[in-house]
Amino acid sequence: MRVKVKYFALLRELAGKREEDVEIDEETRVEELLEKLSERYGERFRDYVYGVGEFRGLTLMFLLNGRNIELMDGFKTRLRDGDTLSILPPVVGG
Amino acid sequence: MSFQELTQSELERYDRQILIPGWGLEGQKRLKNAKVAVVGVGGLGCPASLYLTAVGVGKIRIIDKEKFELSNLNRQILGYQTDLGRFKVHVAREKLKMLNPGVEVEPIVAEVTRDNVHEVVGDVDVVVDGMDNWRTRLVLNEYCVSHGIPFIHAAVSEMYGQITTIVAGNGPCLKCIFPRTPPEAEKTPVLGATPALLASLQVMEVVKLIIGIGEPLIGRMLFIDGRTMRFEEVRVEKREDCPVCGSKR
Repeated sequence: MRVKVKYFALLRELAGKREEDVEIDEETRVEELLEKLSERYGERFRDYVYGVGEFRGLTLMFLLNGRNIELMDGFKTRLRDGDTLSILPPVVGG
Repeated sequence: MSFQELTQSELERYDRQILIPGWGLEGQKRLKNAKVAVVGVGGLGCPASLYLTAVGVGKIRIIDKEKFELSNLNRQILGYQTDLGRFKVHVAREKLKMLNPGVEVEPIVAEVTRDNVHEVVGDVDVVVDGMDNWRTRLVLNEYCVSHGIPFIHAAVSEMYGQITTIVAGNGPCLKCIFPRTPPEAEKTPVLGATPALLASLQVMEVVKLIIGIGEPLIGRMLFIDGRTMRFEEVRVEKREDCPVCGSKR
């Protein structure tokens, strides 16, 4: 099956694209998709996505079809064919 | 208060916007009779209140507890060098009145909290988010949802920004989108032009809602990436079980 991943802010630079379609197995969880993408784009991508290492303390927002994954099973949320996962940085200032 | 008609001078002042299709005299009168609260007179709130004043919103309530500091001046454009140490809302009122004396500007030195939000924000037609923290944004979100007041959320960082319009019952509220309070930031890196851009978009949303033209940014969050100069929309969904706005609370 296939899902769409939309990247924002630094992730666009790390992935070198704004969005992409990714082929994954049925029942793949968000964390497994992130793992696959981290293998593709490297350690910095992984650190950024999980808020570790250089990016310690960073909390990104993951919207699956417009709903925050925290409302589902977080990183354990299972993906379905045609899903869109948007990964956004925290923006707080005013 | 009775509905106020437009004066000859106002017809001239607002001529170029009255010409906008769907606006007209009726739209301008609606603005004149509207009341908007700008909560936070910072990078977002300064340009937002300037444009709300220029467009002719009848009453603008500006709320902020801070005084101008030197590090504000790269983005909080109502504050000049000579205003350092003065309350932002007092400085803002002076400048806004110079721009457009016909607009009533009500300055309030306060920090919005759950306890005072009724009194401080009060009964307005729209609330503009000029905050720099989530704690207060979520208080405003709850207040606006429970009183059916549209809330124009925006936030910025570096050259990034996000904006969405919250209208209870018509789309998600901030709590739907951010179920857990996002992390706060002590000091946000920011290019002044970023909040200016977002504030302009906020004012467009305010004006559209008051006049009743166009399509508001409900159920969509516009993400602005100034580094690559791309604007992109993300769908945001309402939660039926949202503790703030859900029908199945």
